[in-house]
Amino acid sequence: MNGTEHAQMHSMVTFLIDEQEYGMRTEAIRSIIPVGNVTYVPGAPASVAGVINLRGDIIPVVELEGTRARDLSDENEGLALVVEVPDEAEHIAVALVVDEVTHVDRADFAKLEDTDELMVARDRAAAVIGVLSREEGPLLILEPTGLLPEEEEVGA
Amino acid sequence: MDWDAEGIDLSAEERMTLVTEAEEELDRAEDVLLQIEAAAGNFGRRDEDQERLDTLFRSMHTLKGNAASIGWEGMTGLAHAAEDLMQGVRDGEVPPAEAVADVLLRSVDVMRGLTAAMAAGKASPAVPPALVEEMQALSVPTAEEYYAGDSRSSTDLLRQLEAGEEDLDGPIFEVKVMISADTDIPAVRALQVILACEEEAAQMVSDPAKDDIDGGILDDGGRVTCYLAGIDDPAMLQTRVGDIEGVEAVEINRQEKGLPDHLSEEEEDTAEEDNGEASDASLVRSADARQIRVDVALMDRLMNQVVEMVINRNRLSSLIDTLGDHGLADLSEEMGATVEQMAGITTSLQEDIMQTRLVPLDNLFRRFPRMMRNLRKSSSKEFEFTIDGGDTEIDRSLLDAIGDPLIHILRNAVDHGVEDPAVREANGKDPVAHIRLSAFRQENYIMVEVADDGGGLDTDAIAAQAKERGLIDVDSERRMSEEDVLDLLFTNGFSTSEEVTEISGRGVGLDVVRRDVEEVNGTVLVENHPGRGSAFRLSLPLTVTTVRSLLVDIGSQVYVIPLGSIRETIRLEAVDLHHTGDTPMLPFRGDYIPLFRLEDFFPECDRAASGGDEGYIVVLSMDRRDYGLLVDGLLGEEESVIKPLRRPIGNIPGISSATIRPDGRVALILDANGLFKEMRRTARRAVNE
Repeated sequence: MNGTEHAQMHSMVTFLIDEQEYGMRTEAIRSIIPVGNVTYVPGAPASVAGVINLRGDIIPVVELEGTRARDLSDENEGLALVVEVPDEAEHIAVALVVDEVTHVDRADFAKLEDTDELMVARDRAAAVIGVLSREEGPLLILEPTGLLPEEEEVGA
Repeated sequence: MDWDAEGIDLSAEERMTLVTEAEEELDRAEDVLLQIEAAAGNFGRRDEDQERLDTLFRSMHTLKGNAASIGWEGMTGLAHAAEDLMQGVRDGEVPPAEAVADVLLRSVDVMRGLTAAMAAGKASPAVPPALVEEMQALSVPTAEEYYAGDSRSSTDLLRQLEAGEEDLDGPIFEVKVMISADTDIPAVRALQVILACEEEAAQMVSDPAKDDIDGGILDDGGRVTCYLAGIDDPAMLQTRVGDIEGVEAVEINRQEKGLPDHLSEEEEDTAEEDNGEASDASLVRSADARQIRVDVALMDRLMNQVVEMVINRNRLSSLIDTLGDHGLADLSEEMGATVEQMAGITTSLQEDIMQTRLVPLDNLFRRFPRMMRNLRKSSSKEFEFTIDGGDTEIDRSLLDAIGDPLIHILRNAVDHGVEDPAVREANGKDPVAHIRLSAFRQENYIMVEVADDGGGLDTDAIAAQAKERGLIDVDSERRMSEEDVLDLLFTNGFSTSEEVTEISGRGVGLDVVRRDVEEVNGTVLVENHPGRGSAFRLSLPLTVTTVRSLLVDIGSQVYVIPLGSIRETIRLEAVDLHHTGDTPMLPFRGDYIPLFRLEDFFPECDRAASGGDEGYIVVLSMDRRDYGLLVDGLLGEEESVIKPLRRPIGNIPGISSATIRPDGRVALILDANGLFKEMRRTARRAVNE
């Protein structure tokens, strides 16, 4: 530590989507589950692969572009982080499909840098809060808040 | 004024209990008052009338008592005046004339205002003093004396304390408090003193008694006397009472236990008197004893838990079949029997809990005669209003949801539905119109209908209005059927009323009615008979938690269609489709109806019905119009548990909610109305482009 800036150490889970490594604070993650039996929802936003039953609750499955192609309608084909997304009044659980979970790590969020627009695919731009430079390549940090796609007015 | 600022601490729960009780009493009172008014001076001739007057008096008495107990001053004063007046009526000293009913009805309105403010935690609106004076003028003076002669001697108080149920341990303390004359709210301060004493003592009596602190007036020049038994810490009591604002002097004296003999002898008399009072109270209590108040939120939680059980029951049943497949037939059979038994219990538990959520529609309907009476008085229309089927039961949450829509539709019926008496007479109709509110059960739906025998809806005027508002253009008007035009009534920004009247047309239109009703998975339908009247019909689901449904397979995914919206299912093979336009048409009951695929509704849908010969057509009815939906197969019926879909997929037209299948997968519940409306909107837009 250089003493001028306060370190903001967070424990985080790192994971891969489309060969890019991402990190998310551990507190925001409820569980890591095998995901399958996804029910496709016609008319849902493009990034929503469908819905699953998570212990009696019906939650949306968010599949960002570039996630390894798998048939999520089959049994337990994929891996997902169940993430708590704060909404107006309550927290909404969302399953985020990932290719692979890599580590549980600690990182100093005070060292986050702004991202280059070109670096981040548009469907997750709202969720990426910054990038950590590391020897093994950039680590994009995601916050759950931006994960919920805007509701598309189907009839508008 | 803020309630807390007045020194009254009420928890949200206490406040709601108070408000609910007040509303009940007001409903009860209003009902009787309307009967008195309708009898036009003939009230009191029948035997049951006396009973009604008693009810009315008791309502006012309860209101006053409850209000006084928390120092709700405006309410107390008004209810007190009303009670005095009612007492005169009950005792035959004041005739139950229309003028009496009228002033009491107006008081009820003001009390409703006070209650609403209380419910919202807002400051009470001022009570018009003229109203109280008017009631006092009608009352007989003896009522005043009845309340004035209520002060009690200290021996009375002591005797009361001695007569208490519990054995008195230790000494009795006399607490004498003087409330400052400068205090704005002496009654509240006195109440605070009494409440503090109540909390400190195992038993206590006071003068004035808690229930007798009335209308902010302390009879005895601000003196409050309490006798307390079972006090742990007299010093603590001294501090607590002394700390209350407006308390000038506190004097605590230790009393010798026991009463002089001559007082004990009189006890019998007093006991009798007490019993007299108690029997009144026990009458009220015994009526309620078999019922309890339960928080709706708790009921919802119970229901949710039962729903979870139903899902798990289904899951267990399917697991047992798997056991058999694994060669564990014996175990499978034994477990099957147990699970079946458990399933039976779960089902009846579910039904019972559903039952507890049902309330008769009268709970809502009984508010309307009063509203319609006011509308009759303030409009030039002459009409009779009748209610049928108020005993039809409906889920509590629906009752709340349809209140505002019904108010709106009823106002519309008066304002736009029925004609002026002169017009009716010129058309050879009875000058007195008829508006009928009715409810009945039809299969899995509850129908609530408002029908009038007025002039009906003028579709030309509706179309013209919609054009003027820019909702449609000439082209689309030409293509519109009568139903399409009637549907415009429910469009945002539409109102046929030329000018905004006091009765309806306050900027909230039928679009809000439709939205409110659809929010609870209901539908609104208009029936129009030009020259003879119109009807607005709400069709509401019987339950909010489960739905009888047909499971279908579309593109190897299971969808759920509520049985209530299905007319028929037909084998695709068995029909001869007509391909004249873009949409294939299906001959159905002497008519041609359009046949849609799921991808017609959702253009980007990539898992559609194959449309092979094995397929079926499910004929759905949307309002009165039918259409077919192509599916790959029928999978049977079930009682589906309704689960909400939340953001970001909670608002897709045509998909109302979801359910969980026995294998744990989610199946979407289709909404026939939503699908069709979406389809029509898409079609209209496509033509316009």
